[in-house]
Amino acid sequence: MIEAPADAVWAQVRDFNGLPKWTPFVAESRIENGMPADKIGCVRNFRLRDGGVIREQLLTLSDYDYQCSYSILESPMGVENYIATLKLTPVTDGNKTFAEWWAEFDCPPERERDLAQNIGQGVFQAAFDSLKQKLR
Amino acid sequence: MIRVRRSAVIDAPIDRVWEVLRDFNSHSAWHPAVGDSRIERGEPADQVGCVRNFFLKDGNHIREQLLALSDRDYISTYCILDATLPMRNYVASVQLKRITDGDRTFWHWESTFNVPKGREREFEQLVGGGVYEGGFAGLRSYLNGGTRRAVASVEAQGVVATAFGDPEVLQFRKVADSRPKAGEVHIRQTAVGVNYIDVYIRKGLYRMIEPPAPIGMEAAGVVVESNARFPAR
Repeated sequence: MIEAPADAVWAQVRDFNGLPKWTPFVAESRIENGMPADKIGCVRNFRLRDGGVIREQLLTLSDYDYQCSYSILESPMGVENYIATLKLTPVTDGNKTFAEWWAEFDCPPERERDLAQNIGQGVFQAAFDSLKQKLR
Repeated sequence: MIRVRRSAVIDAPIDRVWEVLRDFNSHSAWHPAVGDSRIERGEPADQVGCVRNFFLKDGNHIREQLLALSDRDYISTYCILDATLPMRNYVASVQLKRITDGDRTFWHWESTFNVPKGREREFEQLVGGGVYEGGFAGLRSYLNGGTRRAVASVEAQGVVATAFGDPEVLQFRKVADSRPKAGEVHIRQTAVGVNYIDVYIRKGLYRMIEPPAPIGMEAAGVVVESNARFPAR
């Protein structure tokens, strides 16, 4: 739950090139080939504070449903077929926002628990926490 | 609030159909009712938020904005910003699904909007029949390279538009029919439907025929000759 209207939250997260602005772990980001960040198919190339580089491609962007999905093209995480979706739902009672962020991917079975924990808590929840601070 | 829903099966793989429909400015190439169209401010036609500014062949002018586009789910959603038609709160969505049986495409097109009281039926027909069904037919023809019939003929009868105009231009005549090409069948029609789009075609609003030519888009019957996977009987 984020204590801000969905429009305000969406204004932050809609920018596919905006991770450095609202997440604690992305140092810098650019969109490849000079494409607009809301052109479907564009690729964001970003560097984490720990040095890792990730390339992700925008698959879906909906200003109507407040929803964005993307796939990983390259990353140091050792995952395959990774597709993530970030979706906001307005909570009319109180003008707040219900935010969901989920991913599906393949990996070796012995790494499942760690990756689910790292991505769920270390990435998605950490980004949400940072977003809450920013929109407070 | 009016809700219009139409759907069709397109005999082409989903990626071929999506390649055309994901381009928000492609409709002037395949939709029979759409005239000139451009994307404002020179933005890419697959950038969410871009606006297409176009004329219908009947002279109406419309601006529509792309609200959502998904290469993953094959969905395009858009709304009308301004139109010379009295439509308000128009939001439409196109969605494709892969038909694995035969590698074809299911196309669902729907919208909700408001019109002045008493004109609901008229607009349901205009949007559902003229725009959506007209679009299905237009895209099929576009994907076939706009090809029209030729080859050897058999004798048949049909309702022929001798010119564009009022119902008086229609005549029941013998017409030349072609032998089925690859992927086609020849049917003896036992029942036919008359659709609103036939009126547009007869009037020449949609240039899908060049008179004199038979009109009509819907029929049921018995296959008498097959050049497709379905057997004749």
